[in-house]
Amino acid sequence: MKNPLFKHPDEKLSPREEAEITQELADAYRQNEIGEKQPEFRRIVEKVEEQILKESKNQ
Amino acid sequence: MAMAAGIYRHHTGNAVPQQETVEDVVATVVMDFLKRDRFDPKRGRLRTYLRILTNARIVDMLRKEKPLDHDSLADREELAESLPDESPEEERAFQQALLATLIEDLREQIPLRQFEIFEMVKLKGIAPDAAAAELGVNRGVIDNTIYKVMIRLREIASTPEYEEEYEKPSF
Repeated sequence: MKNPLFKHPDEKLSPREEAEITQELADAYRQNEIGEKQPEFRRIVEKVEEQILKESKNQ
Repeated sequence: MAMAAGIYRHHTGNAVPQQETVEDVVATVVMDFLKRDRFDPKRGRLRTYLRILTNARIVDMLRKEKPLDHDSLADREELAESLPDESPEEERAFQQALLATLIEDLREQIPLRQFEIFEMVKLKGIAPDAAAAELGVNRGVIDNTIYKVMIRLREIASTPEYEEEYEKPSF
């Protein structure tokens, strides 16, 4: 089923659809906030930064 | 990470990858994506492209002695056919990441004050009356701002890039 967030902006949303959108956005926002604090996320960022540094030194 | 773990399991007969392996693959995919700078939305969807990159890096890792020809990634349609089906966790993770990107796009396109109100009420679940009291404004200002911001959000979401990326892929 299509997510109501992606319905055409001119289409009116039902209260249920509005609530569904709010829930999805809040979940994504929370997950993103949590994700950025997770150790594995930080380790991946560090690995990418190390790689960028290594490659810039090689150039 | 869900994507990398799923593809690893596919290629290894359902073996569970070590956390470090998954992190290494994801870091390599991010680097690859940054270096290539060749993603073309006209040729396919971002999530398909990322799955192809991830698949290639995992296959590379599993066959260390003979890395894949990276240029063959240009033939995306053929490679996409060899990919495992997207798992529900992978789909969910991708959709949430996309919504988080949508929120970031919104943040950049509306005045800070409007985003602040939207964030409090819609993203953090603070009651509109409490938000009004905290910000020292009338409740009407909160409702009006939320209404305007939701319209803007739906306009951004209705761009083809978002709409297509959000839906379940068909390989």
